[in-house]
Amino acid sequence: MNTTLRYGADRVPTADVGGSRAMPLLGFGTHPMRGDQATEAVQAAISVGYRLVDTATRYRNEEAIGAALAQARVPRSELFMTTKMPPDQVGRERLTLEQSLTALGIDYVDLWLIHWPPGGYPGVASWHEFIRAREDGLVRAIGVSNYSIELIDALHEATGVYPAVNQLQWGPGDYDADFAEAMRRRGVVLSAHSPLRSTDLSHPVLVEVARRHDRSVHEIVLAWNLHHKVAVTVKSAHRDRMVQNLSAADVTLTPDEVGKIDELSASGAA
Amino acid sequence: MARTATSQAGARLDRLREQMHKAGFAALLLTSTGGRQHVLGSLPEPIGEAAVVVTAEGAVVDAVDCDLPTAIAGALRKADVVDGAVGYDVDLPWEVFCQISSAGPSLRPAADLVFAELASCTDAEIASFAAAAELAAVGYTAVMDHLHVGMDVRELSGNVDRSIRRAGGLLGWYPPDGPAAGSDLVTVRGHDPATARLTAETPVRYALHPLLDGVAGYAAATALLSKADGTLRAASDACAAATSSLLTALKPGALLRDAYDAFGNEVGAHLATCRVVSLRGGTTQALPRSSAVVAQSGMVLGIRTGIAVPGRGAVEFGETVALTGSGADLLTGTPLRLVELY
Repeated sequence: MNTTLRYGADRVPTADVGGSRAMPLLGFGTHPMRGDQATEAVQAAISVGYRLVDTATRYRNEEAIGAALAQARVPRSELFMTTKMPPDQVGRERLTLEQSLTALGIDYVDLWLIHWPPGGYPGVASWHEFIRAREDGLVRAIGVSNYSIELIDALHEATGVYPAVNQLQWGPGDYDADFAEAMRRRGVVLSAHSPLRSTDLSHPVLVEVARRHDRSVHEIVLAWNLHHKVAVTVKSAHRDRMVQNLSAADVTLTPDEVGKIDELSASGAA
Repeated sequence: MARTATSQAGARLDRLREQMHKAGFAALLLTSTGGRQHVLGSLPEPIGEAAVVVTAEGAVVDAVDCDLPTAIAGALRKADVVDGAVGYDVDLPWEVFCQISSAGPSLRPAADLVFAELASCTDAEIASFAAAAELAAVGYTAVMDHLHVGMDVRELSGNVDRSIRRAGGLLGWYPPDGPAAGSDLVTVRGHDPATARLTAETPVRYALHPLLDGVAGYAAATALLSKADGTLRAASDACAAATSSLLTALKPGALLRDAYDAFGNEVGAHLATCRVVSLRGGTTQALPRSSAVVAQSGMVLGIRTGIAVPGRGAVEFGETVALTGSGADLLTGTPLRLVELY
């Protein structure tokens, strides 16, 4: 898969994950919002420029997000919808997908992920069902979440198909160059959820880089992910924070800044 | 003794009597657990054999004895249907009509009437079945979320039990055959009997039976904690194909028993089992293979199919289906394939 930085009309870089629509590398995460809060937040997120909305069966907010999509003024073709099948639905893959589609009010999702390795197994049988769903046009791209390299290789060995995306907790505190390189070699786009969770946002390195760019540390962490071509989903129910997070796409870090942030995980300082 | 039917049972009795009037019968004799529970409402298991007589005039009486013919005779006598013993044909289906004439009572099979009554549901009841089916789905996820080699099967049952109860399910257990017994929300088979632990080689078969408002979810699935070999895969494929044929045969206007034939025609030489049951009233009642009951929209049925794999256990599937104008609507969404975890 090619990952290209394309600061065009929507400013957000994208990655080719094999579907008809390139995957925006900066997206809107919806966990743990539900009900009206989720509907209103997604409406606001789309209105300020987010084009990727990330949800999951387990979040129990697909119907609320569907309500937002129904009112969105952005065509479906310009949106990138991600959802995930929880591992306890192994054996009921198609049913789970159909329930997601019904709740979201759409006839395909752009990216469908196995939320965790089922029972710690790679989930080969489920992966076959994912491939079939893609062939049937119900999903445009398929991937996994919280998978190790070994589990991803097991899926490929059994089916010949690598996941397009592996979503996991990923931030400066989790950075592992070898893992990132292993994903890149396999053509798997890394996607970060909770990019701020493992990071010491008061660390002097981050604070200094933020000061230099006149940005918040949050934005610097997001920009650091984008520099590494890592997709990142961020959640906020506040419109001004949504706008601020999105503006991280405009930040260009220097190689020296990126190198210093990379080192935070190795030093255990992040 | 004469019994007063519960208010819930009262509505069912009214419908039953309507059917009796249409058929021109004076009394209905019920001996199956499902049939007796249906007309009496919830009742404890009798110590011995039991028979219930429902008369067209309104009486509902039951009798218990150590042998069924005596219990039947006692119930008929109490209902003033006949004074004295009557013959009892052990080859008759469980339920029989009692037609009174100058020559005395004559018995005719009534299993079809009872099955049709137990399977035909109101919209509210179908909604309850759908809710119970959702509980079955809760049980399914509770199983699949934890399955691993070496797991103690009692832990698995406990997980399901907690999940279903937390979601509002009640106690109930339905064995594949015979009267209701036991008390659990899931039946698990396929573990190593010596250690009670799951293995990688033997399929784990589990049937979920959550109860809700007097109706039962009914779902069975089979999982294998490894990659299936050719034998198991073949059994799974054959059972899935035969079960799909069975479900396709469940069309309004067709004979329900055609579903058995559809399954049998597809299953080939495999050692297979197939049961179509009604679920209403908190118990299961099997459709006789000779039944002439016609499938109708509004019926809710439990389907249980399986293929034995010598030395490897079996592959089993189970579903709760509601018949609609377009055919069988699968309420529990249980996978009709061997779920392989590897």
